Amino acid sequence: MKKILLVLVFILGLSGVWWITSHSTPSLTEGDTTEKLPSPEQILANDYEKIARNLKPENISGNEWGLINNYSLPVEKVVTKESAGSFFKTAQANIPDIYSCLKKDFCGMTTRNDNDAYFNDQATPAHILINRNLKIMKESLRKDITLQSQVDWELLQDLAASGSEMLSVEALDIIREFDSESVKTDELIKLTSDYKGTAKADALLRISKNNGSADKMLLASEIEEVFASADNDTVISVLQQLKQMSFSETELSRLLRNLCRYKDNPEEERNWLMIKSQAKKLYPNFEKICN
Amino acid sequence: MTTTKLLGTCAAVALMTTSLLAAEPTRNKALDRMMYTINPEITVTGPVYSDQSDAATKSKYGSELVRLILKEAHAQAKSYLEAGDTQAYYAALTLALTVPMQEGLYIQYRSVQGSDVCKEEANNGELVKKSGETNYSLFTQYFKAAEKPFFPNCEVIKSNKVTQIIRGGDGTDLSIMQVSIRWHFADFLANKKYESVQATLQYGIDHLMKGFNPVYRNLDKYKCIAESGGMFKKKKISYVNLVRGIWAGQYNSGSITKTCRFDDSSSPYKHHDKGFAKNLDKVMSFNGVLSVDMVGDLKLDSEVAAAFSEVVNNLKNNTNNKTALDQVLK
Repeated sequence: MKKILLVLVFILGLSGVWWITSHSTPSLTEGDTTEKLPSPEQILANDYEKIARNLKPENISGNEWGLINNYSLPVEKVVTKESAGSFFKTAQANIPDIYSCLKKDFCGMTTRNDNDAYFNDQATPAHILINRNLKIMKESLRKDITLQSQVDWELLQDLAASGSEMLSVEALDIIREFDSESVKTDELIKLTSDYKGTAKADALLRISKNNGSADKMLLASEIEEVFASADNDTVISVLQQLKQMSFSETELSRLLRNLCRYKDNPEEERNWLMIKSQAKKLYPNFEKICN
Repeated sequence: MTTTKLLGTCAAVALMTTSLLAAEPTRNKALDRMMYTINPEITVTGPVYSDQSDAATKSKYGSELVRLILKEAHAQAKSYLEAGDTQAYYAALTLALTVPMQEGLYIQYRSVQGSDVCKEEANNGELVKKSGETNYSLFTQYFKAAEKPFFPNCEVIKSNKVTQIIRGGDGTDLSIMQVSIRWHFADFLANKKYESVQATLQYGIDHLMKGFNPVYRNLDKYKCIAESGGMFKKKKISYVNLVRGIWAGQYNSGSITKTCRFDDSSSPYKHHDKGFAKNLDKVMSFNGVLSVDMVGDLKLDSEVAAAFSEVVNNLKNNTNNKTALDQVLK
């Protein structure tokens, strides 16, 4: 009898363990007993420390560094005409060191533990910090154009070709806005040759701000090529930005003609639906172009 | 003898537990350890869940939450509906209905009464160990250092009735969408999106759609979702697998290159994907009541329940009936 009871208690215990584990939700049970784990403050501070230890003390000792890292403040409010020089200097001095550790080991960023699957290798804290520093550089240049002579253009070219959307589009935009004398639209477009999806669309939208008619022709030619041969996501992303690029009806008709390759392709029926819907918003007679 | 003693002890413990439960019959203590307690001086924008409320109040809460989810998901996926790709639209809505259940048990804020609900170890944290020139800490910067800290130390909270926010893991995942503040500090944290359910849903669903759009457009790369129908046939797409893939890749792995993780039996994260599949099943088999892990049943009001049913039935049957959904989206 005692043995039976013992077995019963054992089975009940096992059932209890099974019930608890099978009725739990992964996202909330990964180490939710925080008592024995480092606190969130420690984890965040550690993530930051891993980046900071790659930076030179003299470059992060001023007030500028604290403000650059305060993401609740928009860059337009952080940088003033008077402070532009010191912000520019701090941002440009730190980017190469952050970029270097990013390429080495994502500046030490890791998952929390073996059970944590999340690792976005395109948006680590180091990516975010470089993006913020690039925005600070751009705002500083806008507030004080004399800083133009101090820009490390080689570094920006390197970042523009980095293959990482958070770095490349912002770096490209600084080159476009402040180095247009030496870097022409065709070179900017060439820099975007490996960009995909929203990065390509965002980059081309920024390039569209270059005003000359020759620039517009170069841009149109690039968009034609995208529509004719890029992957579907890049095609639709660029199409969705086209409205803001101010092309004439004639130009639109020429560009959109390249999308007819999607029509009558059963494999691409769903993408054709989206393309048709977006293109008709720009050019109501779009379907006639493909007939 | 030993067994008798053990059973006696179990009976005594059971009796004590029952007595305790009788004293505080409706407080779900399992939720206590999943919460940070919010400064009572700070106003958050709900809906706010209360496990100490009656079924009708819970139903009102669930309905309000689902209404918000559907509105946010619609705002971000409506281009598919406008294009006539209704299956993609309903897949995006189904994804948006499932992820908050998987991630945050359909709870962002919890109103609760009790003298011991504020957990010292969660709210107080530990002092950041400063080193050298750096005294930076995102958590203290955004949650502790303000004049009115979002998470004050428990000893300064005088009220026994408080509002809490759900956290997960080691405390760095926050809100109904379990947004990681390690990865999303520049916007979600800095712009205090966690102070509103609507802003949180908007942020989380936007993050989902950043995976949904490129994966859906380039389906050739994802054999676990679509198979080529051949030269003259339509592509065969599993929209349920699309939902599973977006969560597994974009949301849980941080990369759309991991979209087919759920289809890999050797994946070290297969238990994550099984958990998500279970919640997706609950959504897909919805019959008016949502059974949420650790929370229990949430019966939705008739209008919201009808809209919910339309979404999942449209996805299952490749239809586009949306009378109730249109009412909810008004």
